[in-house]
Amino acid sequence: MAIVAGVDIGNSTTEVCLAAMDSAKVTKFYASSIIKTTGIKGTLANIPGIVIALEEALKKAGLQMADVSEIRLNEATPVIGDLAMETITETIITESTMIGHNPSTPGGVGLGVGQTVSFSQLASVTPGEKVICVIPENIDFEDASRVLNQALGRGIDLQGVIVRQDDAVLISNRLQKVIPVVDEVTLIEKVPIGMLSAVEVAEPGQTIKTLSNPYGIATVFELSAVDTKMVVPIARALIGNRSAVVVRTPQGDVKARTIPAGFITILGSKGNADIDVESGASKIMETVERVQPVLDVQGEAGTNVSGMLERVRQVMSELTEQQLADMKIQDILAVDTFVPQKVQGGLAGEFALENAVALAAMVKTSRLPMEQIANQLRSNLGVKVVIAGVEANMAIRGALTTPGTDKPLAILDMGGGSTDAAIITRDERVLSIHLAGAGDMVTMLINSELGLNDFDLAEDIKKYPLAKVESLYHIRLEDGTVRFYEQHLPPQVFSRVVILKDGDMIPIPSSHPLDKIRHVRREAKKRVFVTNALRSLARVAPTGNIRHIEFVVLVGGSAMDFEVGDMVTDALAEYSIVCGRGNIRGSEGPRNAVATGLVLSYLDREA
Amino acid sequence: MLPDQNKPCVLIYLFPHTGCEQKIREVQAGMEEEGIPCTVVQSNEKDAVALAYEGASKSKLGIGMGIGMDDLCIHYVKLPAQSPLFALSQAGSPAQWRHFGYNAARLVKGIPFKEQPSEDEGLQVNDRDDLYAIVYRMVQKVLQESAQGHGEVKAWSKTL
Repeated sequence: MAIVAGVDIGNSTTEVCLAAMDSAKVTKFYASSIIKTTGIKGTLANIPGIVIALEEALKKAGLQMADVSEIRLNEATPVIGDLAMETITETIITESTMIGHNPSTPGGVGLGVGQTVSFSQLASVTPGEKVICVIPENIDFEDASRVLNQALGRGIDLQGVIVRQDDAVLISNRLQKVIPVVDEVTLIEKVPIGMLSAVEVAEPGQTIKTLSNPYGIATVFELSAVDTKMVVPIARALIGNRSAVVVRTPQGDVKARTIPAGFITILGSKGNADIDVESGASKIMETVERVQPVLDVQGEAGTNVSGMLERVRQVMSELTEQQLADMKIQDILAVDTFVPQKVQGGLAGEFALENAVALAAMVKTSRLPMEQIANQLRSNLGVKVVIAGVEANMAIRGALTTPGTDKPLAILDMGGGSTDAAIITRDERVLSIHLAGAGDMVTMLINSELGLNDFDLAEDIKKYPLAKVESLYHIRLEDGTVRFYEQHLPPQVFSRVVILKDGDMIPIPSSHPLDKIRHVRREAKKRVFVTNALRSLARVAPTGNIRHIEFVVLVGGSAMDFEVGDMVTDALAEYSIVCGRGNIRGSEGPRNAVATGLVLSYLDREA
Repeated sequence: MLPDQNKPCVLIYLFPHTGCEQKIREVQAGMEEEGIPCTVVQSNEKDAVALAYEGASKSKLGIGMGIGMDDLCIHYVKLPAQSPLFALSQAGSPAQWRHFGYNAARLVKGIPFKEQPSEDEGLQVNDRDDLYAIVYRMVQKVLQESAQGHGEVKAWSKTL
C-alpha cells in the first residue's frame, strides 16, 4: 500500500489530496486541505505553502511526512492573469460653479437667487439687495442666525445661506424667514464672492427641481440658448440631490471630458483587427471572438490603453522573471464599468460617475519552472516528488468523480486569475483553453463601482451575503427574512449594510443601500463569469457549437461562490446543457478536482 | 416633574454642575440639527450611565442621555443597564458633545451614527479580555499577511 499526495498549485490556492492506494485502486481517501498559495504560481515561493498544506492534510489523517510515499505535482499551466482599468471620462468644474454634495440635513426649503456675500460683509449690504450669505468655519449658529436676522430686519433680501459647518437646520430654525440653507461645504473659502448664484433645497424626501433642469438654470440666470447648452452637465450632475448651489462665474463651466483612450490592435491567427476602446466592451469582445485565438494584443503607442497593456506586460515580466518581449497577451476580457470619481474643482467633495473600461489580460509565459519546485521539495522533505500530467487532464479526471457524470464531459474551472475550460470526448481526447477574467476581476469591478478603495472589503462583498442592521437587536437579510439577536449588536454596525462573514458582521462604510450593493455584486459576477462560461465552452465545443456539449461540471474556487454556480447553471440551461457545481469524490464540493485527479493518475503509472 | 416628559422625545438627565449649560446647549443643538426633540431633566444622580439609563427608561422613545460632571452617555432602554451605547469617560470638547447629540438623534431616526471627532472615545472597551482579544486578532492578521508576504498576482494599474 502506498500513500500518495496530490498537490495542485493554483493562482490563489494550493490544494492537497491525500490517499492510500494499492496497485489497482484507491483504498482510502484520507484528507484534503486547502491554503492560500504563497508567492506567484509556479515559482519557488510556492514551497512554504505546499509544505503547510501537506502538513495540514497529514495532521487531519493522523499521519507523518515520512509515511508519504509519493507527492504528485501538477504540470501547472503557465497562465497568469492581470487586471487594469482606465477611466475614459472625467468631470471638471472650472471656477467653482456648483456645489452638489447632498448633505444629510440641509435647512429650510425653496429656491433663492442673489449675489454671494461673505458673512463679515453682510453689514455693509444696502437694503433691498438680493444676497446669498456665505458663512465660514467657527461661527456659532446662534451668532450666525442673529446677524442674519438683523440683516433681514434692515430690509436686506436674504435669499439663501451656504454654511461650512453642519448647522443648516439650527440656523434655519432661528431665522424669521424660510430660506434654503446648504451646509457642510468643506471648501467654503473657494465659493466666489460677489457672483450671482442660486441655492435650492427641496422638501424632505424630494429632490431639487429647478437647478437639476437646464431650463430651470436658464430661467434663474437669464441664459441665452447657447449658454443653456453649456449648463447641461451642471444640471445633470445635480439630478437626484436634495440640495444644490449653482454660481454664475464668467468663465465657469462643468466639463464632461472624454479622455482619448486609444485603439487596441488584436493580433489573431485569423488576422488582425483594430478597435477603439471607447466603442465599449461588447465591440472589443466581438473583435476578439472574430480573430481568436489571440496571439498578442497591443495598444496604440502614446495612449492610455497602450500604457495599461504595457503595465500588464511589465508586471507579468517582473513576476515571472522572463523577458518583456516574451510576454504575449493571449486573451483579454473587456467589461464596461463606471467609477465614482471625485469631481475636479468640486467644493464639497462631490463625486461623479465616470465611464471606464476594465480589462483582464492573460499572459502565457514560457514553461514554469516546475522541475525546480519538485527538486527543492524533494530535498526539503525527503519524499519522492513526481510531476504528473497536464492540469486540464487532471481536473477532468477529478471532476469525473462527481456522482452522475460521464464522458463526454466539459469542465469549467473558474479560479481567481483565469477561467479555464476543458472537454473530454468519448474517445478520451482532451481539449483545453484558458481565458482572461475570473474572480479577481469581479473583485475589481465591485471595488471600483462602489468606490470602496479597499480590495479586501470588495473581496468580502463578493464572497458573502449582505444584511441590513435594522435595530440594535435585529438584522434583515438579503431575501427579507429577519434574524434576531439576544445580545445587542455593536453601534458601529447600526443601520448599516453589513457583510455576514463567518458569524461576524463587517459594516460597509458607504451610503449605498443594500439593493445597490447587491445589484453591483451580481452584475459584476454575471459580466465576468457568465460571459466567460459561454465564451470558453464555445471554444472547446467539438463542433464550435455550445449546444453540442451535454454535461458541464463547475470546479475551482469561484464555483464555491454562493451564487455564481446558480448564475452559470441558469445561463447554460438556455442551451439545454446539464450544468452544476462539481462534487469531487462525492464529498469535496467543487474543490480539489486537480489534486484528486493527480492521486488517481498514480494508478496509470502503476498499471 | 416636567409635563414634557410625556411626549415622545429623548430625555437628557443632568447632574447640575458648573459648565453644564454649555454641554446641554451643544447636545440640544446636535439633536435639533437632526430634527429630534429632547427634554432636560435635573437629577441628583452623579454617574452619567445611571443618569442616561434613567432617562432611557422614562423616555417614550426609549432613548436617554446622561450628563454627569466628567462624563457623558447615551443609553437605550433595551440595552442592559450597565452597557450603554456610547459613553465618554471624560469631560470632552464641544465638538464631542455635539456628536453625542447627533448620535442620540440618529438612534431614533435609525440611520448610521456619525463618526466621533476624536479617536479616544466612541465605544469604550470596558473589558480587559475584549482588549486582549482585539489586539490578539490584529497581531494574528499582521502575522498572517506577512507570512503570505510574497503576495498574489494582484497588480493594480492604479498603484503603479
